Amino acid sequence: MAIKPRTAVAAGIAVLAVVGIGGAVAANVAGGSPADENTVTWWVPDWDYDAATTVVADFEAEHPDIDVELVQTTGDTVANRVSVALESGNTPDVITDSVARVKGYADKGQLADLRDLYGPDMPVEDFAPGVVDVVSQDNQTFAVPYRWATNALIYNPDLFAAAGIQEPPATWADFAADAQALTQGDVVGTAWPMKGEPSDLTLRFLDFAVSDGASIDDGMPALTPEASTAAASLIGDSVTQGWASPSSFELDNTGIRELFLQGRVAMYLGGVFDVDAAVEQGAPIATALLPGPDGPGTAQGVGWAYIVPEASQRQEAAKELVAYLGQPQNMAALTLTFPARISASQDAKFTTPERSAYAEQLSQHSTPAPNDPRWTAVIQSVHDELQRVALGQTSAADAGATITGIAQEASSS
Amino acid sequence: MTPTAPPRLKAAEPIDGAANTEAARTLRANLRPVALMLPAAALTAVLMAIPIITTVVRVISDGGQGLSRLFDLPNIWQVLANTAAWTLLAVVGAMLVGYLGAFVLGSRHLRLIGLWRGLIMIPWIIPGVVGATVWRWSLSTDYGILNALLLRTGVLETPVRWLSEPSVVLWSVALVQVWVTAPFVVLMVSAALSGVPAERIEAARIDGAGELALLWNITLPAIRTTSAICLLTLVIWALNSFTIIWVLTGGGPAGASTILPILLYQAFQRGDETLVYGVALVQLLIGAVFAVLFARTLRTDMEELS
Repeated sequence: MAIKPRTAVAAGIAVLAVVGIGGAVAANVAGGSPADENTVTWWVPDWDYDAATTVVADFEAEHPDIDVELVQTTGDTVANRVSVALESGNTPDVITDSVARVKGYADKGQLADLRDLYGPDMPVEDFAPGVVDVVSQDNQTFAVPYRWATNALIYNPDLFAAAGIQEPPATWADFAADAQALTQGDVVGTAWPMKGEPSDLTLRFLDFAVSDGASIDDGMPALTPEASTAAASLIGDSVTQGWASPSSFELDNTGIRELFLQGRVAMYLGGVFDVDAAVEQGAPIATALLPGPDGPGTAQGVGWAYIVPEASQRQEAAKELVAYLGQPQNMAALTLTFPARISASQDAKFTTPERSAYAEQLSQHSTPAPNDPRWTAVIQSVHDELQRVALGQTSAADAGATITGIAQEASSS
Repeated sequence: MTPTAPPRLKAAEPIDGAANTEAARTLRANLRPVALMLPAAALTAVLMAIPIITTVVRVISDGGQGLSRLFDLPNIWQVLANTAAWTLLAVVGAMLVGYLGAFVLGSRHLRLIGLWRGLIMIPWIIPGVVGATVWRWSLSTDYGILNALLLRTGVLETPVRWLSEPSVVLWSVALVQVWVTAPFVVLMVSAALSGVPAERIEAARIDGAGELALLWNITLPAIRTTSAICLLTLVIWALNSFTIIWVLTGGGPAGASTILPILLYQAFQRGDETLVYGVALVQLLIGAVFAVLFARTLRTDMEELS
């Protein structure tokens, strides 16, 4: 059977492509990472990538026997990507991931124990209170936290002045009254992230609940109907009463920040990352402690950490890299919020006026956020219940009772 | 004299040989398309078979826990109802708009047909996330262009919460699905309409048939197989759709736009593998029904063509 040259070329290209793709897949599955034994692959989020490039260059200069390959992840996709990698056993060697997810991975035996890294060069006492405990269980420590922060109140001082408000709200009653006074024309008092990650909304709910007597025990919220009702009311009723944006259902954290920068949201609970963005743009911004029932509220500490998968084939080299990244100067270089190590927080970038409220919130009015997978499993239900209050489909009291029941059932499962 | 071998046998040899050669040639000719399709078919089978088998095995090995947990979910009936409503709205909408578009494109009075045909294809060819994001901005309650337009022209007095009102949200997301999928119907129906014999229509006209009678008795029956293919394709697309709803509403508010693929992804995000496989199996069974119908319709279409 004669084959035309053009057909032969096409067939050849097709065969090469199939063999190439198949080979690459096979090599990837078999090796999981670059073939070079001395190459450590580090999955690093896009916001850390530039700083990581510099830190890695220094590391490689100090450790000529180890090469580091950086692979960018994004905040939206890192959870799924890491979960799939750890489940499949086809993992990188170091991953930057949320502290809240560490316990879930550790429960499945997917992470290497990093306790040996803690010692004179990296004393546990030098970390923010409770941070190392959050990533430890059964005398093992599965991560090195490097970034730790809470939400605080971000407000627009120009809009406050225009509404005749002199001080930021210190209590829930002030918060509601100020928001009502600020809601006029195109401006709305506040907004909640009801779209996007469900945990964005439940984090704020828990901030309020914990401020009102609930607690977080062993990574699991211990709610009371009263605290849940108060928190659900503050979020849900603010929408039905009109002093929080009805568009909250369509907004995620980024959307709220954009509206704040446009002067259309007067205040909201946000992270220090938003403050930096506003300062960079020259937008009017000031910060204050999170309001509580009668004074400063309690905010949950959330952060990011370095983990080494148990399936990593270069664990020793990976640990060397993590130990290096855990040094105060490197922690400071890679932290956009606050460093997990106290000795790293002396850097000038952590002591700007806008950050002082965050520093106080973190050091005096914070508690680690829940990280128990049983809570993660019910976040969507809690989120939907809060939305139902905001839609007027249920009362804050009924939602408070339901959410408390959900949390208790999850705890006992 | 010993009789020689029957000449017919000697004569028969070349005849049989020729027949064998012919048979072999026919066989080769028949096998050739099979051989050409084999790599693609094998790859498709592997890509489809592995996930299907994994799903079934996983659900069975979990003792059916995934399915029992799925049907124990407090919102499962709402999710199934949402899935049915979304599919119905999206499919009926796309069929109506698609047919209308095809008839308009086929009109003798239309000018610049190439331009219109190109413009109509845009929603279908742009990436789903991009299209959904544009619609998300457009449908925003306070900041969207649609509400701004309707308020400015006096059609509305207060903004509609397109994406955050539970009774409206499924209509809104279905509208976007219609926008994306209707061009496919336009394309398919346009092609089918061009194949309807003109003399048949002319004959019906001579017999006194009006435009409606022509449509109902001649045109629609003539393209019924294409219509069935469009219908089933749209149903399968709607049942498997994820991007549009996820980008526009994330399944909210309060689960009002959560359909099965969204429920599956939410379970995946939580690392709840048992539930993921339970939802996947239900999704698979529903999809399989329509896939079988699709295959049968496609076969009928091929038979009609041959």
